[in-house]
Amino acid sequence: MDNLDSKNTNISDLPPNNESIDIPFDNQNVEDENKIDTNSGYLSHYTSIRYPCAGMIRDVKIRLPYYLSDWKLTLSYRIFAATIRIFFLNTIPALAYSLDLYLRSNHYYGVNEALLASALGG
Amino acid sequence: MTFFFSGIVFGVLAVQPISIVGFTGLISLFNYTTYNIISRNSQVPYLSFMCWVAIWAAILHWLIAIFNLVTYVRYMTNFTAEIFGFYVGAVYIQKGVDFIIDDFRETSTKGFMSVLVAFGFFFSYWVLTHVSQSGYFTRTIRDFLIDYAMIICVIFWSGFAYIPGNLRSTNIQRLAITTAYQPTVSTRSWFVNPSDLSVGYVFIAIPFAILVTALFYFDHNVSSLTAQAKHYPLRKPAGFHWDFFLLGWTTIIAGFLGLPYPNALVPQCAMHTDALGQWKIVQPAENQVPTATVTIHKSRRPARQYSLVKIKEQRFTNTCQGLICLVTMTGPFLACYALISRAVLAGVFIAIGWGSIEVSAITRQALDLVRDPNHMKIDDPLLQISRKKIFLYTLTMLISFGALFGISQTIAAIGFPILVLLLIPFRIIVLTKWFTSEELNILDSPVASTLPLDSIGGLPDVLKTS
Repeated sequence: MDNLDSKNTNISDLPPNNESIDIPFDNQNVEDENKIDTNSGYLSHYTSIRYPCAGMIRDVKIRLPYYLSDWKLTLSYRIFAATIRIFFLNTIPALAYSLDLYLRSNHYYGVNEALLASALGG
Repeated sequence: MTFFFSGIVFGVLAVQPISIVGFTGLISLFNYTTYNIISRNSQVPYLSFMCWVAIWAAILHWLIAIFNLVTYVRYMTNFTAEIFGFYVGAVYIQKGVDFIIDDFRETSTKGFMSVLVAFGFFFSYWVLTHVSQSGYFTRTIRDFLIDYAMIICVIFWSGFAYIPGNLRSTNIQRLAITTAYQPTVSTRSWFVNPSDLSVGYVFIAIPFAILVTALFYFDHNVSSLTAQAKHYPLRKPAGFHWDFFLLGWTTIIAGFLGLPYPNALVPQCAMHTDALGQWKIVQPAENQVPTATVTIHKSRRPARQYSLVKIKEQRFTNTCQGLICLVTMTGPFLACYALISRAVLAGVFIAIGWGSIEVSAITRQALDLVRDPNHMKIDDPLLQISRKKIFLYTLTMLISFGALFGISQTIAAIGFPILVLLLIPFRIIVLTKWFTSEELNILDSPVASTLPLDSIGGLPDVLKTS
């Protein structure tokens, strides 16, 4: 995780990392906003309808350097527990809604559809 | 194999893997309202119609992503996000109550059993999640409780209805399941044939597609924003355009498979970020300077504060939960799901719905209005503005919520997405006339910090705090 900062090339306004935890987070946001105010060329291509795909290209370009680190196997207990927690928070309400939809749409959608839709998003 | 490839799109490909994408209440509302409208003409094959809606909607999603129109999401503030969060919470609770009423329709014994299970579930889930925010037990136990609260409660209260004797003999309604890996309508294959639809209806599908797109434009982006809200110390950049483009793909795949279209879920996204948080004890300032070596007795130490220092941003949680969904579609797991009673699902609805409402700004402001001023925290920023203004602001939010909630009870629910999108210009144009910018700075704030907002062009000038 430490090499994140060195890899970062495009954005200048990364929030300070966790080493500076003694600063309240509000202050950090104020700092960031000041930085952007001075940067007059802020509104760029990806907010304008005249540059098709600029937004998507920007998104992929800016995230790609982090892609490998997203997958770097950090087998920590937190990841495991979070997976279990979010799985149930996602599926149990989906099952409940599928029951509601099952009754209201003349049985067109059921549990299988709800689970597959959740998996499709994933 | 199709299942595997269609699965886990957002976990693997999204720029924001923090957003949990799944099947949600609003799309359920959209699907059955469309069904009610379409089924008036029994000639129309419903799933083929929904497939065409998905095709048009996907095209609109791609156009929006290509022409950078997602950028207007930057005008969304907490005003809109909080009303929407409150609305989603209220719909959850309403559905829960509906389930209980359905049990009462069968027999009153089932009804009362259902009330017992649902509120038992709600109470135990509420206690478990609140203990985790309290100072009881140790950090490890508290983390355990919040991570497994949902499954503990589901297992306990589902089992509760099986306790032999009076409880079991109530025989309350359970979740209906069908054959594993087969569509619920057993006569169809997974692939919906769009050519079943007559040409006229292909074009009738367009207005429905516009409404789905409007709904997802709002729902998906507001969920992604709240998952990256200001108080989370996120370090990896966001990308709203790309994710909206991907959402077009999941919509069209879902259309062809005859599924309800998935999108990012309002309470679940923020819960995901919460689940990935790392908390550390931050030493009070005076403790950091080593002074005389006085050993302080444990009980005399100042209370130590935990603070959120890091979010584990990765793709495992999102991808794995999608894969587990696929695994649980197999027979044995489906049989487990079939043990869950409808009353437990009612409890889940009420518990999650209340979770949203409890932390909502609407609730907080309403409570502040009735609180004795002497009991307000001295640094509460709301003290800087007159109560009349807080009252007006809260009332505006409540009326907006009431309009959203009202429309979704009728067949006009189909127009819900337009109404919810109107809240954004309402905030920018009307609210700025009713309140001064100082008041709005205190009452309202941008949802996310500058890092996620960078993708959509940063804060607009209207919302900048001077």
